[in-house]
Amino acid sequence: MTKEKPELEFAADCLSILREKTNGKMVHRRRFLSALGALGVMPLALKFTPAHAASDELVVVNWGGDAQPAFQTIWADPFVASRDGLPTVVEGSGPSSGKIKAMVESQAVVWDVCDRNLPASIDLGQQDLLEKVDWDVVDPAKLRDIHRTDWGVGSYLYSFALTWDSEAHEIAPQNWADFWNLKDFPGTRTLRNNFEGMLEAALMADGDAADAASLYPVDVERAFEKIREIRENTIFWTSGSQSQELFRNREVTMGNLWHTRALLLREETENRVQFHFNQGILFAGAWIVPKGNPAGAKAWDFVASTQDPESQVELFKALGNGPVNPAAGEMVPEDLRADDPGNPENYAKQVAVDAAWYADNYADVLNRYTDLIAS
Amino acid sequence: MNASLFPRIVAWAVACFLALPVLIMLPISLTPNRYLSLPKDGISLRHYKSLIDDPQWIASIADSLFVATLAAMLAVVLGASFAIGIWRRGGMAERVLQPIMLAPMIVPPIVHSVAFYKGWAEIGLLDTYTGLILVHAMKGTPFVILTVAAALANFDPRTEQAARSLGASAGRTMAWVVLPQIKGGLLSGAVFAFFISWDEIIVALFITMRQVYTLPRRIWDGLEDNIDPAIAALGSLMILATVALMILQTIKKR
Amino acid sequence: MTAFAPKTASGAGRTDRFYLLMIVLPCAFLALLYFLPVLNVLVLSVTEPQPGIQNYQMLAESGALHRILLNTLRVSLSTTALTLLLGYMFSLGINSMAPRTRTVALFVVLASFWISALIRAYAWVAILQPNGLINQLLMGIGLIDTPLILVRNELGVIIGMVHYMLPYAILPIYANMAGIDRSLLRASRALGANRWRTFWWVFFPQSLPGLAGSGILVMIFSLGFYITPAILGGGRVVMIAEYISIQISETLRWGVATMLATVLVMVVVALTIWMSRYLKVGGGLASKGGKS
Repeated sequence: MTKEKPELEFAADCLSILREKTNGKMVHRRRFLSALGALGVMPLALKFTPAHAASDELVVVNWGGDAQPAFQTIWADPFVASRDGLPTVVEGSGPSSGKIKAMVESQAVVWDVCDRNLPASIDLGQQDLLEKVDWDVVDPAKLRDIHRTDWGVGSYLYSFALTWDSEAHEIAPQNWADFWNLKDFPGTRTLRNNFEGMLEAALMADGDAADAASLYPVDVERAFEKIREIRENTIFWTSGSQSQELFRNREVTMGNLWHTRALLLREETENRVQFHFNQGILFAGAWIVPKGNPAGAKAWDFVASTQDPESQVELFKALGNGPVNPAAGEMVPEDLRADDPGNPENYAKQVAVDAAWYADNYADVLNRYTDLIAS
Repeated sequence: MNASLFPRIVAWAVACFLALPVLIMLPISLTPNRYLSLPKDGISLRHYKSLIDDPQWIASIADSLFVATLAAMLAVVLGASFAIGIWRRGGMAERVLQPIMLAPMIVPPIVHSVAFYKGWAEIGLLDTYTGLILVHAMKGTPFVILTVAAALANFDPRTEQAARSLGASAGRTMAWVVLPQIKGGLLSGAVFAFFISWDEIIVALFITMRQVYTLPRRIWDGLEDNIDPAIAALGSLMILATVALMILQTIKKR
Repeated sequence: MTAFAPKTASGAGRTDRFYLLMIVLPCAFLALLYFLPVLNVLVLSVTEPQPGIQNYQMLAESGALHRILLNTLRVSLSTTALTLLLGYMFSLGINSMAPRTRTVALFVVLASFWISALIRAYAWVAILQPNGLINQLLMGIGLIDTPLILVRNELGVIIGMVHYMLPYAILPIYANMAGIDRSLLRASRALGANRWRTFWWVFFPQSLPGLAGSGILVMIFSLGFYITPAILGGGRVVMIAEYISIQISETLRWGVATMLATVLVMVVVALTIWMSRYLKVGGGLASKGGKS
């Protein structure tokens, strides 16, 4: 924060009074001063409104839906109760990269901790939009090495898994090659309208082995060529709820879905829809902290608190997101282990994504992928 | 008779087309499932119940109504004033200014989002009613300009001049001669502006957080996860309320 | 230029100032609170990622951009044409209805406003999908054997968009028609013109401003669609607004996004200025005292 000029001391004083009067609903000092400068423009009354998260609370942002209350009860509430926890709210408005950039660049950050994934943590971190992880507070020993970056802390595991309608396909598809085999497995497919996890599946269908060493760096052109093969028989899902909708309505018979969605579908359709982790593409969600977040270093306290294996198992039970802390694996009840993407047996079947490749190629490949499915 | 029969048949066909998704919403709102679907075995009122039980829905409806009403009012004042001024003065202003004033309708909403996030952060309007009302009003203004201008098109400016030459002041001419002539345009402009705000999500997602929480945002929050049939219940209720209002009006007229 | 402000003998100066103020105040309001922040962002098109016109060069060179622009244009034009046709016929129809029935018809138009774009898109999926209402109906009465593919393609997108846009088209067209002087029509009939000629030579020209206003509105609106196409188009109908949105939210290529937004604004403004020379867009010049 810049130093105040003496003549503005009065303004600063007004501000402190205002702060008290608004019960700590903070008015950002710099904003307030620039607002004073703009007095000729806006009536004063308009500005006495809280625009920022107060620094005496912590704002965690995820993507809404069931995850919003789940994060609140499993992670935020216990953190509040802990020794140095701040009052913590989980908001579900979706921490997109664009929003983070807008916030950081206009120096009006209102979020402390965001629910994204590891590739995004590198991508945004390299653009100087994130705070670096304080590894003295967050424990690197509670993660596999590939589940952390300079700016991101693995939070849970999710997989792009082969999902199919068992009434349409009596013989279960074993791998992505079967997925691409329209002759023996006729029916409409669904892929995501974002390339994450899609290109790897295409390459495995083209004969690549299911391991990171042979898939990365991704041969984008070959993967595109493979997707072109089935493009006319494919609906591209745009949101998790839509991917479920497609199976529910029997509009598709096979899809590359988030395993959390596949879990919900399996339950909801009473096993009509099935999935497995074979050749699944395994991502790690990651906590990231936008640069200049209001609660400062306290954000990492919260992140550290989510490393508790028991809480991660709770989240798995609630949403299906796999625990990222290897120690949590054994705490998962026996009968649920088959659905845990982090379970050693499942883990071995899947490909762990190369976050660095994603970060380096995200913008470019996303645009090309969009063009591919649109033309 | 027969010459106007064809348009009338088409009119009813179009009305059916418009009504189809509306009608299908009623059964969807009665689904016992927690996702959007047509009820197969049995119906349930659970989504109506959750609307009533959850104070957050009510709060969001109130937020949306408040924002949309004020935004529509402001948009009508701005848009009608501009359209009438242009109509009366014409010239360059009309040819160049009017298309430019349509910009809030052309610029993609996501660009607005970034613009207003940055702008409102400067003057402290983030997450305030004022901030959202201003944006929604400005987004609604072009619609009012277009509808009022269309209504004025069939209104001879000489009528206004006549009133003035008979000694009426500019204000009175406006109230007694001009505004009554363009009632339809004002009303449809207001309706547009209201619904633009009522349905607006993309800018709201950027510039509001927790103080202001409009209905589309509440809907959106669940979108990635699961679209709550409560919004079908809400839509049905809104339509029933509109029907009730209209019936009341016809009774009053008689 | 034939247009000028009509001059009156009495108090011309003050009247002029009154109307000038009516123009200037809203313009100033928007200039400050709209154009300032928006231009502040649009300028990124020549500064991001580095100063220069490389973003605009991309517009000329990128085949992907051309495809997306073409998609957008095709879908928007189809939507506009269909919407105007249906909207005009509808307005014509209710114009000749008894007031009571007209109220019912207009009510249907208003009712469709209450449903969010999102839920409407899902309602259309329920109606149009392979085992949806329409296909079940058609197969039930034996008209078809295999379901028609009505959705998750461009057709579905256009159906959804026309449905969304119709109320927006109908209200201005109808508001304009309601203001047409009936005595002119009667005069025309009295002079021996048949219904068709009366419609074509007397009624239709007067309804043009409403049609043009709606046309602009629908076209501009259509250019900006993206939730409806994403859902009803099976992810494969990508329009310019979605593309811009991806650049802002995901790839963070704000330079490209703002370049596209700027181009969009300029094209539409130019188009509107050009159209206003030929059509009486919103009380246009031709209706002014100066020309009549």
